[in-house]
Amino acid sequence: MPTPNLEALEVTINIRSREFRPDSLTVTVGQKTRLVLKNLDTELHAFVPVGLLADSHVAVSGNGAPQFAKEGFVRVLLPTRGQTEIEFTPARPGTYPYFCDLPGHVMRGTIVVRENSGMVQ
Amino acid sequence: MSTVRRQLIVKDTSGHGADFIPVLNRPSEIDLPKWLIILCAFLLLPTTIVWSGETGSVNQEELLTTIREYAHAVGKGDRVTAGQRDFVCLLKMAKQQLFVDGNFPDALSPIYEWCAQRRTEAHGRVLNQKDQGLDNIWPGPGMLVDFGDFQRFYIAETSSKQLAPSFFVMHDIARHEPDHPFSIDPVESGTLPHASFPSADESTVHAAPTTFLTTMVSYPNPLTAPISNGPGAQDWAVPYKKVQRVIQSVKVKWVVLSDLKRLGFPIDRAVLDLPLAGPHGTTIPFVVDAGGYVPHSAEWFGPDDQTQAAQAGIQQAQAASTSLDALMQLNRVLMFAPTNQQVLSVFADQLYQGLMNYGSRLNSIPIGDARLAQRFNELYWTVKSQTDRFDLALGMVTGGKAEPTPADYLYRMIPVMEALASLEPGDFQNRIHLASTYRWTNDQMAALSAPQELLTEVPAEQEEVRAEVLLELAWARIGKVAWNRHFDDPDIRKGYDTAKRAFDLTKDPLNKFTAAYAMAYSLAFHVPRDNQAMLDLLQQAKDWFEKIPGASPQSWAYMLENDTLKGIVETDPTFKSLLAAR
Repeated sequence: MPTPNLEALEVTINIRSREFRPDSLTVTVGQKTRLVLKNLDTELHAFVPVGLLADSHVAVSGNGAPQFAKEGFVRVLLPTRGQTEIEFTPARPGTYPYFCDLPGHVMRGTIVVRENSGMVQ
Repeated sequence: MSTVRRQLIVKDTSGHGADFIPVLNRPSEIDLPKWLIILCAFLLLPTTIVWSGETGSVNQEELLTTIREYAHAVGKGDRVTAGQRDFVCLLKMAKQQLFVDGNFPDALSPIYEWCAQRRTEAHGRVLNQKDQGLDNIWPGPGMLVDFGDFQRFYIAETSSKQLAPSFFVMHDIARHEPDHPFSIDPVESGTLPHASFPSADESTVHAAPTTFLTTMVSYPNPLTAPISNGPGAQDWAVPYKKVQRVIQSVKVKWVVLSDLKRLGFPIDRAVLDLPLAGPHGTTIPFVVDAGGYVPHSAEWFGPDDQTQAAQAGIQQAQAASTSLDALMQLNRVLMFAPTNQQVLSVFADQLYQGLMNYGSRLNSIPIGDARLAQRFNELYWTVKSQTDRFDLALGMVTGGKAEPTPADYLYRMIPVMEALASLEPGDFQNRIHLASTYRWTNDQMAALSAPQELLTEVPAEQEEVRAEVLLELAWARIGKVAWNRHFDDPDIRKGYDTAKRAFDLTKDPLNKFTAAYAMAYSLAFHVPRDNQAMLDLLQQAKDWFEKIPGASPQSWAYMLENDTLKGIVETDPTFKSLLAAR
């Protein structure tokens, strides 16, 4: 019987020249994921996921400043040359946008969560 | 056993100058270990001598002289005089056969260093080593004498806990008050059972008449006196942060051994301070009472009965070589004058200035005019508090920093300003600053309510003050939305409107600039954003900014380079004209 993979999959998003790179990546339901965010710019940026981490358990490390609200993780601010790691396990398949909400920063990306065909519900 | 005890009594009561040595050297009928005999002698000798009625009389003046000589020598760090009046030190000298022709060893003898060192090591236990950032009390970590709860002090040398009397006259207390660090006055005297101790060759046990004098040790200056936890706090079982106070006086019991010349010492009386560890849990000398701090005898300075000292403390703080020294001084003054308005006012100013100076160092923008510099740095922290907040997050203790951080200044400042505001509600400037600090700490409710309350109190004719209060309220509203990112929050439009009211009310170019800038800044969070209106307002802000003494193109350019505005003005060509002026 297939079981969820407990080893974390590491994916990295670099921020450079006010762009998320890559601006799209894919993770899997039930796969523990370690999302590494690196701000390579010389200004403040934010990572604001929409729906992806709502009501999820997340572990945040690094030198960013995470913000939480009653619905859970809201965003993390990444200082110049800063880095933040977010560990989570995607719960629902779908396409989840994320963006930087600093005024004037038109920075967007998506994270696709696909079904885990081998996982027993 | 009983034979030994009885003979000891006979020998001791047979007159001065009697030699004990034959007693213990005589073959015993029972073959007991030597250590056991000495231990028994330790324990029984003092008691039997009391039973025999030889307790000696108390000459309080002589006792006091000896105690004062010892105490002041300890306070001054005079190792030779202190060593010569410290009984344990004398015992060590005797053991090393350092007495020549009945005289003390030369002042250069290493024995004095040994005696001083054990005292210093013991006293080190009450030197507060904890670095608490801006809560530090002058003279600071490693130097502050803090008796805490007056628990018995652990003495590493003897693995025991003691309340040795010299703790209360230690050199670290006198270091900052060399002329008159403390006074010692008699309270009560009496006799104790004779102290017993081994002879130099450890073949026998001597006994010496022992008396005590309880004294009041008073510290004249609350700016240099030791501290402890406050009245009643010693009994608290919970490890909650306790209120600390400056000690005014304590009662200390000194135990003095006398008739010592008879036993071959060069001096007749000496103080028992830090006994040595004896066999099987006993002490050398063996005494029934080693003296020390009299429990629950402490009295504390204040509150508010030391106006002169508070004044002196303020002056010392203002003359301090570093801001940390100044703030430590003021923390101390607040311990005995917590509601002294002048102290609170100076303290609040020092902390506020410390935060402004820190901001200036971080933004590295030189501004010649003090008033503009302050406003510029206030705006710097306002923007920071809404964006990354990194510099406002870590204190020097948690962050392992060597100097106070912005967070240290900020979080120390708030209770000081709050105390001042409750004492002097008419000090509007303090309350305006307090409103700013609430905003910078992201205490959104307080940041909104503080200026709203002020608006109900500042008279209508004080238009510039009202304008400043309106600006505080505007920034509180803008900051709330900027941080929460709830762009449908009506406060973002109210923030704009409040800034507009300030703009219309003020005639001061500094406030005009700030109001126009706040309006423009708030538009960054309006949905949809009107970049043309934002440009117009930034142009107005720039025009007013240039009218302010000390303004420069460099400082104006910085106003556009923060994390809120930079992304907008750099990406929209609308702002090209504004950027060209940088």
